[in-house]
Amino acid sequence: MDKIITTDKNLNDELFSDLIDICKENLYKIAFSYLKNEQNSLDAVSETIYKAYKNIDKLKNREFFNTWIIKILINSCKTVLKNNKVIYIEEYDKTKKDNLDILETDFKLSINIDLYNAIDKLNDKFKSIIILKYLEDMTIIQISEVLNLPEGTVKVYLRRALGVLKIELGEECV
Amino acid sequence: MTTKNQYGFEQIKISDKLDEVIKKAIERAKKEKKRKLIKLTSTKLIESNILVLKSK
Repeated sequence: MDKIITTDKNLNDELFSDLIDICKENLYKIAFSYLKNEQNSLDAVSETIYKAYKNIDKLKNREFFNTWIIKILINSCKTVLKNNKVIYIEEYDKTKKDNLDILETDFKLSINIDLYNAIDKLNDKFKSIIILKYLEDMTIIQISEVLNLPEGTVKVYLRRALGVLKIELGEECV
Repeated sequence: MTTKNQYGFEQIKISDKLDEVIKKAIERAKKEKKRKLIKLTSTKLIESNILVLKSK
């Protein structure tokens, strides 16, 4: 994908379609992880592509197309959730003091864990981080770029989210 | 964009309507961009005509 992006400065329609073709399935999977509903996920993807096409000129560095479009998608998913009046419990934030000195490897999970079903128990921001980390395989730095959060905050949220999942799934699974 | 570990996310089946939805979204965006361009061009044209008339 990087090749396609860097070889053409004027992102034409065909190129845009090619880029979408590469990432469409992942966009749908992210949306579905959030919304757990076919129609809502399609709505979110549709809105994302509409916004991306309209604002493609605003993307300064096309190497970041993937990160950029995922950012739009997450916002679209949040809008869909808001419109559907899904309420999240924000109590998860009130956990004990976090240690910021955490390595990326500390977030490795057991392969058999069913995160897909468990993430429903999480609030909006924790869900975003878990999806980006374990569905998209993004690094902490990439997640912080997508969600506009400092790296330290991403680490804290990730740790808290895993803490919640530990309770939901049982200590031995996570 | 491949994922090593699935963690249950492999349960997500891609909708048959995805391609159609994407096509429609691009068409909608194209129309909107075209509409904006026409609006902008016609506004500029009207403004320039007004200026010409005023100068006369």
